[in-house]
Amino acid sequence: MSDSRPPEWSYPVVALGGAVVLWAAFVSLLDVPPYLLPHPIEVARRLVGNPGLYLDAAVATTVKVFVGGAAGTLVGFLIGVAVGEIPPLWRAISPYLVVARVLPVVSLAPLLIIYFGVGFATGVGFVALMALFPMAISTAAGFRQTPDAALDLARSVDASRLRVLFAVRLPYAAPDVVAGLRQSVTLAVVGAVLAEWFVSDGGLGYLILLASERIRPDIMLASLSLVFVIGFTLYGAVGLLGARLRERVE
Amino acid sequence: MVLQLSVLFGISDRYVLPGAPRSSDDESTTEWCVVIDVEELTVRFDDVLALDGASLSVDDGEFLTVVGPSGCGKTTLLRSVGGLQTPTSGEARVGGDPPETAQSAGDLGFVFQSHTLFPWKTALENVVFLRELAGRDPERERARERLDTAGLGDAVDAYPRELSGGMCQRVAIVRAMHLGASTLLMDEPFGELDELTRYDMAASVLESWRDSDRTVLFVTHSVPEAVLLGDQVIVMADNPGRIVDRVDVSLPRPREESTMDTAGFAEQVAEIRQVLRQNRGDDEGAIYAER
Repeated sequence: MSDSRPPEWSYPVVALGGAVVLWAAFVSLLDVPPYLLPHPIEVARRLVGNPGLYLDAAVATTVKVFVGGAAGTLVGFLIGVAVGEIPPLWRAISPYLVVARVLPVVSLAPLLIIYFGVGFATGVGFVALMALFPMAISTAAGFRQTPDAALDLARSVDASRLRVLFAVRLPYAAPDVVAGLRQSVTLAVVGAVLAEWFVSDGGLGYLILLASERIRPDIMLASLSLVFVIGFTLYGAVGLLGARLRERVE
Repeated sequence: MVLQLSVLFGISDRYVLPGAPRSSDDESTTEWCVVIDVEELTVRFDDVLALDGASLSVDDGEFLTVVGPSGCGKTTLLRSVGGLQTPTSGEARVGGDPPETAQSAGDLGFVFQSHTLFPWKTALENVVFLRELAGRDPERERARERLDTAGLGDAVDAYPRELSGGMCQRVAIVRAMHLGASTLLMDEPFGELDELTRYDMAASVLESWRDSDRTVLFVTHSVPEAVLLGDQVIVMADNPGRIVDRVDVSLPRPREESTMDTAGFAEQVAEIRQVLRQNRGDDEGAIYAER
């Protein structure tokens, strides 16, 4: 008896292919004008026709995502550890951390421009801000996952606080830290595109902005597809990491 | 079957001054050496008097069991001895010092009701991990031998999720042994296991205790378990949590699972049930005593 079920990854691939076919059929059959919605082949032609432009833009955006994302998740992680490790700090700060998620970080962009000027630093700073909050909240929450009995056990041998932090509390928090990382990575990509809209220093977001001014949805969609690839790759990588960790800590 | 009524009043005739040396070259003092010493221990949680003036002492190498209904403060008593619970008044001493000293010295081996194994570590890693937490040399090879001896040779590299509840608890007991503590504090370690596994485990605990010179304080809500294991049984009652009796178990050692089928065993169990029944505080206690 052989298992005739297709592999797990094939489902989203088929869904994506189906969506593109539907899109192509919709445009061809209804004769949609290209300034409203171009044919997928036209979009692909943009990408292939001028690979340098898109590659440069994709690299610029990826750099922002990585630099800003790394800084934001690191600071968020450290805040999360501090808040999780020091109960009074948790009581004092946790309500604001949650509210900070409701606060649109975009509204802080003008402030960043005042501090850092219009340039790379503001873009990176914005990405970092976007990535920071989910990471901080999830990490802090993860630190509350350590079972009391595990802490009792550590206490019964007078284990040092640092040792308990690294050997007991962090491993128990790991799944939540990864969950935070997953949200942060997604928001970092969103943040990079947004930052390129108001900083206008290149990248896929800037390309989308330019294409919008010239009413070129084909260029917009070509750029968008690359944003999707970046986001999907990062999310997938973190997801795999999370699955492996979850397998161990359960 | 001598009832040590003195315990009723919180005074034990086995009582020795706190601070007495744990071991000495002098034979006469070794004989009277008290390892665990609890004096007028009271623990209050808000309005609840969890433990009301409990006093007891455990000699070096003695196996003392504590039995009583839920809520009688037996776990609180054990946690106070282990320094995990700060008493409202009174004090607990281990080897003549506050429990914190014994903690630092790695001289308290805890076994909890839940196995508290770390899910991301194998059985062997879990066993050595407690020593590492205590800042000691892990002694991996010795740990492997101990697991082997405990019948866990095949489970050395298994993760807790791959083991049964009973096997996890065995690993937890091996972990406590491997720490090298001279005092073991066991809080209903078989509470989550089925009846058959439970007595099987009890027998193996007895076996490893025989081969060592450890002092054990063992909390349980099972009267047969308390009788099978203990040199003496401390009987507790609830509302408020307190010690009501200390019963000598006159059954000869070594004891095995089959000991439970003897008439002497049944008598001892009946005696303790009698004490529990006399001291029941409410309906729950009545149901308990019938078990």
